[in-house]
Amino acid sequence: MSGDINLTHTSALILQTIGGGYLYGFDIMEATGLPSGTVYPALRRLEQLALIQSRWEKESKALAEQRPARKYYKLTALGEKTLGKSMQRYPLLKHLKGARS
Amino acid sequence: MKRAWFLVRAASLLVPAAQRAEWLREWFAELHYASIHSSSENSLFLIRFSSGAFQDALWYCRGVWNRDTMAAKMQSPGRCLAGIAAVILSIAVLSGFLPVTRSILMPLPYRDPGRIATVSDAGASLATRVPIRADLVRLWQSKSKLVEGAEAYLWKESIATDSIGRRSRVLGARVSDNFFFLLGARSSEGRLFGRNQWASCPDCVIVSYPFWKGTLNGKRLTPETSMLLDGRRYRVAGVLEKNFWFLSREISVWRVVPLASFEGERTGIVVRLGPDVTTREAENELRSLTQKANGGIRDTGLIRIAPVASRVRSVFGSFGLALSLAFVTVLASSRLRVCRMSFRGALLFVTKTLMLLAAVFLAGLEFTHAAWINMLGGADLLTEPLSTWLFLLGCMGVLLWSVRDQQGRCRVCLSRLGLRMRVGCPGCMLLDWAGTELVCVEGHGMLHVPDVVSSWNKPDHWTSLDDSWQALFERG
Repeated sequence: MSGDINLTHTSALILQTIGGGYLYGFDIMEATGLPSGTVYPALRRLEQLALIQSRWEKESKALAEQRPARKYYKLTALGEKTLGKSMQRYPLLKHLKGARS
Repeated sequence: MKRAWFLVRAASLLVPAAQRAEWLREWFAELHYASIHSSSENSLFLIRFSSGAFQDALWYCRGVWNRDTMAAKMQSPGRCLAGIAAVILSIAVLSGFLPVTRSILMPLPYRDPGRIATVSDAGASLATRVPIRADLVRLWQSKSKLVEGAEAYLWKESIATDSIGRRSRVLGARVSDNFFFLLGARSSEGRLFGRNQWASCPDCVIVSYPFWKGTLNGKRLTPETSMLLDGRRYRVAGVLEKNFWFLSREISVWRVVPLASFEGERTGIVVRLGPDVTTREAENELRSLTQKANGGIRDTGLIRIAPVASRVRSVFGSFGLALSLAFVTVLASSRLRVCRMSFRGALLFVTKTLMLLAAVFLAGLEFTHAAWINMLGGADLLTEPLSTWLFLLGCMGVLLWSVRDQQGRCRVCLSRLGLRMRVGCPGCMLLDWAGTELVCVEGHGMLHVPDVVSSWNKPDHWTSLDDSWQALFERG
């Protein structure tokens, strides 16, 4: 199945951003410059394709920092494999600064 | 921030209920980080950010509410009844909250309304009512012992011009001297309606309450208050009480004129019957008076008196007749087996049918003016039978649709059946079966409808599916 997934450039960009350490919706929005109406539906789609996985941050940690808990996204093994293929398909993605400093 | 929060809340309504709480939790958290990021004056950023919630929510709609489940939801019994209720509500709103229906159901705004009756000439055909020669009014006024008073009325379309020159098309009536006194009408503004009170004011008009409120802006009447009617100026000397109407609610301007001015015309005639006088007794007396005065008058034997209240409410009889005919026709042609319905099924059938019949009745009254089609008595000979046809066709349509809708519903959950499939060999009728199969999307059963109904097979056949079939109907 992994070989069959052809992502759009935007989805691949979001996947790369998550791989780069931007882990929640607004963070991804900030990093990519994409609007919320694009990022969040794309996250749902990527999760449905099992390319990313979501988990809720622990409430206790969020409470200690007096903020609401975040929903974090991370790449799955399939997601990493698909990202690799997407990098070949969209060579410009390689030139983007990926990892969070 | 509040507006952004509201947008996210509104968008959450599109998300299926099972996922809504988690969806809201994520969006509210994201909104929190977005608000920290944006400067306090940049509320537009937050609005833009939260408007993305709609696109996100729509993704859920696309993913979870697929076509089949949406169709099933829309065809559920509750949605069906809600749809019919919405139709009734629309009729009520579009008609201005059912003014005709309310005026029919409420007591007529006259003194002793049961004694007010109209006189008409049944003419050559009993199916029509035509006006009567106005010169008979004077005869009946002077000679009748059973009728306390008789007055003439006639109306036509006129052009009214108000004080600032706005022209409007109105229904204007001419009535004889003591018309309002005979009815016992009351005024809400201006002169009262006493006996012979209006004879001294030939250039006066009385207006209806809605006309006074609308066209004359509800201003207090003064001796200078005037209006133009068909190019002639009249003083507005009175306003009828708010709920007054006589045969048509659309009459806006009333002119009181001497009875002599109707000479030679055929008019409507209204009478006040004496106490305990029946219409039959009054009819006999008026006929005999008319024959005595002039035996040569054509069709005097066909004078008919009808209480205004019964004429107003005759629309119920008209509707009842249409409904009875429609019921017999549909029962004879349909294959509805009432006895095999479950209690819930029968309840749904009766409720939706009654609601739809009410919608037909209300629409007929409010939009086709069926009430005063019945009441106008000869003013428009074409429309009275037309209203009966309208009710008949409406009732037949409702009953046929209701039966067909019921037959196409699941016998268990009462949702509309779907997944229509043609099966069998259309030509093989004797030893085989051909028809259409419909399935309940919840998996309760299947309906087999044969192409041709014959004596050796059932018109339709329901097969219940047990739990072993459920795996086929589970949604992923």
